Amino acid sequence: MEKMETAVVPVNETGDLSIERSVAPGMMDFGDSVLQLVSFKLGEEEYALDVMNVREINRISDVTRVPKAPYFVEGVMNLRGKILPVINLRKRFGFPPSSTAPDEARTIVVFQEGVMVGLAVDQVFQVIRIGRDKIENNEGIGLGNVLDAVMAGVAHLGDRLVVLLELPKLLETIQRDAGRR
Amino acid sequence: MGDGFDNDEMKEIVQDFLQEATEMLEGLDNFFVQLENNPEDKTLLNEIFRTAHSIKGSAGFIGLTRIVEVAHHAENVLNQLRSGNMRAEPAVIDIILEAMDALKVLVNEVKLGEQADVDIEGINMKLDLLLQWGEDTGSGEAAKEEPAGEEMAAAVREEQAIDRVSAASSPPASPPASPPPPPPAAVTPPSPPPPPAPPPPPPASSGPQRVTPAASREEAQGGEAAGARGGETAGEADQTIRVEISRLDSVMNLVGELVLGRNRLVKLSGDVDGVVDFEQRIKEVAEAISQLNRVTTDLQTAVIKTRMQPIKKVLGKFPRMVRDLSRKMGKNIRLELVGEETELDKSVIEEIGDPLVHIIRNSIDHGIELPDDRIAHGKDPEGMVRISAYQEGNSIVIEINDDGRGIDVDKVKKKAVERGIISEEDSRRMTEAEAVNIIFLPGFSTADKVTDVSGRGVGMDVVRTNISKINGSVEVSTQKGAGSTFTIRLPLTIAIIQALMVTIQPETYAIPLASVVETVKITEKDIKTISGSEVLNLRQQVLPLIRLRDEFKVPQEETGGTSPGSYVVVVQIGSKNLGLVVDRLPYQEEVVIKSMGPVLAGIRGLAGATITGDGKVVIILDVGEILQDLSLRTRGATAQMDGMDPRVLGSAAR
Repeated sequence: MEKMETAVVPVNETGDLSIERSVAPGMMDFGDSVLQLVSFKLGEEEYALDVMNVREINRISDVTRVPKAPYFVEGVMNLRGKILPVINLRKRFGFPPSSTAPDEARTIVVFQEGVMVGLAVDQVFQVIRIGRDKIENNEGIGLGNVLDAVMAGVAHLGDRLVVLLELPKLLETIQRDAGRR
Repeated sequence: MGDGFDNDEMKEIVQDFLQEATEMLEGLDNFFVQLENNPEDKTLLNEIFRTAHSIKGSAGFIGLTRIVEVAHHAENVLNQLRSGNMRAEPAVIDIILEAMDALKVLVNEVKLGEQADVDIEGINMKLDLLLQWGEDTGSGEAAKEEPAGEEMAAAVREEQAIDRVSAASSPPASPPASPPPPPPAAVTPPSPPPPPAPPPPPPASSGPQRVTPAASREEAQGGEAAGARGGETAGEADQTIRVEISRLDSVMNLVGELVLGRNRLVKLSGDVDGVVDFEQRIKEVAEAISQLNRVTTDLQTAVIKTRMQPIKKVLGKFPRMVRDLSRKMGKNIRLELVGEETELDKSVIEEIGDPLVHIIRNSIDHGIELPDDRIAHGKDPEGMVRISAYQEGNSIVIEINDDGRGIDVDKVKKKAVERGIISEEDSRRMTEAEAVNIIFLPGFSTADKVTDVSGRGVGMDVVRTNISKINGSVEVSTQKGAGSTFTIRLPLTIAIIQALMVTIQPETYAIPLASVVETVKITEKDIKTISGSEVLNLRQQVLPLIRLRDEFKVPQEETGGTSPGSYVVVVQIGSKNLGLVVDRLPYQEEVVIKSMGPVLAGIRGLAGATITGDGKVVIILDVGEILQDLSLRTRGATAQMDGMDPRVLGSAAR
């Protein structure tokens, strides 16, 4: 267990990584000491979500703009017959528009307590296995912005820093701000 | 109560019981109301007894002791009724209904898994007192058991006294068909309907099973509140639905055909090698597709049918409600239900309950007069409220008709002006039919005094909002002195609607066709402005306009060669019209409304989204909300504009 601190599973070239929940038992059961994360990029910065929160990862296609929606809502898209709201994480965190190639862009479909949204990111990077002890558990590092409020910690991978996001908080603040129009 | 079911089988049994019990209790409510009108109906009494008994039986089987206890005591009373030892007069029915309410709360308690606050002891005691009183009067040995009897009556009177009565001086609602059983000698006045009740006499001190007025008051209030709570939760979405096997069979059959169709296509696409006659092959493919087309259309209908439920499910609770309300208010009202078998989508059924309650309360409170008034006006002292449901084309119509005093249109106008809902000008210009529909505007109420039944100025606008939420419409017509009719039009299903697709380059939106009156091709110079608001002079009528491009901040397309705003879609909600300016009207389509999820719910003006044939998401507009917001935003401007003579505008345009 302790030996296997950080294993990196690259996302395959074609890009559409699908993580089924049924895969979870057995394959990912490393006990409580190891976390599996999906890491993604917003510009040069690297972020991550717990794999258990991620339903699937899709290319961004045909997003319909929703008038009068909050600024950080990119629009809605057709997810196999369901309407999926797509949140632009860059706008959500107040980052400048992306400069990376749009064909790298993906939506990470997350699901939490009946709320399903797609999170638009510049690029999905890796699936990371990491020991819990490698994560600096700080809920917010005093940046005092939107990002700060939804941070679960920072993972140290060599000289890389991966910001771990807490999905329930992220969705909660999104819903709160969406209702505040 | 709710613990101890740890296996699935038990859960299932409990679920079955809950559904059954809820239905039975609702049925019992109506049986009792019927019984009150025909106290001698033996078949009915037997039916009631059987139903109550089976509730008790099943509850006992699962070990729901609280339910069994109340059901048992109620059954004792029912037994007396059945054997003819007691008569089903209103005061008796009151207590039995109270017990039924308690049972509903108890059933709901099992559903929620948390113990509800029900005074079982109190209810049981009341039922027992009733029983004792019945026996006394039945056997004629009144004097001996006098205290209990008096207390019984006192409890009943006390209970009635706490019902806040609006018409305190009203005479009894209905003289019982035959004289009530002789009450115990000492009891003045006998218990019959309705209030006004004098303060109850101090209860006899010797009564062994004493119900103090205070206790009974608490209990009665508790019961009332609990009943309301129970009703609310029952109105919430049930997660299961009962479907006739025959309907499921037809879905099954169609799915079978669908599979056949698919196989045929798979086969046709599979062996392309050695195909000589391509024309023949294309013909075969076309045939297969047309078969698929037919099957999917039928399947759609069949699946929609599985969601259809008789409107009886909603109307079922009204006999009880009308009875309770009319008794409370000292009115004498007969409820007629027509077309209870008419079917509506489950989701519509769930949404239509509240608006109907509001309308019926309103009819009873404001519409139907007190019996004396009615006689004075040469009417039958018994008022009538009729709810009829029927299908008309692609929609379901529900009419709520009363033969009361009608709506005083002048008073409506006056109040609306007073409350600043419309301007003086408006009120003069409005036709009667338009003016009476003011009652659906927010903040409107004609009531001079507020009763707990209605008159707080909330209600009718909620009615309209709720109904337009399910893409329905509501209108009222009235005849002074002869009554009013509320007409609700609902789509057969809310999941699928006809929509008019409109484009505002480069975006496409869908407008529910039900609210579209017409479409007009215009040029830019047809649009006039009145104090800053854009309007269209359409056949000598001023039509306020909204440019959807501005409203939705649609990005301007660079290459736009055509002049924007070349069509106006005229929409109507109630008596208000509005023109939506769009670029093109490409087509109309049957669309499936889908929710956009909690994050995007509640954006004003959007009803949801749909997915079109090419897989794109198209936003569906909520015309009602757009209209509402517009009138809020530009109330001043609109009032001014409406005040202008359209002919002046017409000449200005020329």
